[in-house]
Amino acid sequence: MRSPNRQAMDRISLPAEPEALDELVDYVQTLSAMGGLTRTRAHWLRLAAEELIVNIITHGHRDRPGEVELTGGVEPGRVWLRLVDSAPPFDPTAYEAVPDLERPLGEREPGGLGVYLARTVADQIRYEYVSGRNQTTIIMNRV
Amino acid sequence: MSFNAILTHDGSTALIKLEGELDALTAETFRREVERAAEAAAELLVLEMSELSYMSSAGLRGLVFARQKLADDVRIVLVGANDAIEQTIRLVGFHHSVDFSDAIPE
Repeated sequence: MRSPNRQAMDRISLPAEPEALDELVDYVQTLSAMGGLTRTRAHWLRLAAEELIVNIITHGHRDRPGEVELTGGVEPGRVWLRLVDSAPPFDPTAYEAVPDLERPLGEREPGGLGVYLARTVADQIRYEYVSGRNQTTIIMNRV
Repeated sequence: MSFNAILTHDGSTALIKLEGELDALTAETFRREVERAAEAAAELLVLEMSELSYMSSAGLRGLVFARQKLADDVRIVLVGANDAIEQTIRLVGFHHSVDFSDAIPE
């Protein structure tokens, strides 16, 4: 069966707490199936989505209550997933910290890896700050 | 989502078998087993990954933790990592600090 050219997922809202990750994974897996992503590309979408939502929950909301809204859809050439949150502005596309890749593991500081990984494995990440909310969109090509 | 980490010993080798999905919610289980392996003063730590389907940066932080907990001369060997997991490890340069193998070292 061919995957549809255009389709949208229902919008859902998740509490900004670690347990939301399971629901995010379900959402992303449904979206990947809808868009007919290959196994590897579905893996990268899940990875980018986890890294960005964990960043929002742990650094954006810092244990303060809040919500992360998810929308997603399929277009002719790509699949997109958008995370919207009300944490302080954070633009992952402008985040400069790149881990020192040549440094031995034993000497590394933990952290700084998640946003770097998301940027590396996603085909594109777009960011906008609109009406006091971060809108972060992950785009994966349907190749 | 399910994840399991099971530590066994064989002589001076500590082996942790990882199964399922290693993410931000499950990484603590992995760290605990790494800690137990480090206490056992092994010469080699094998992470058996043939049943591990997914690993995020939370798992990478577990590898950093393992490297820091173990003595410098203890090798860490990753066995049977799937392509996406191996690529994730290479993307962040961790392949300089661990070895990949298709089979558990003798």
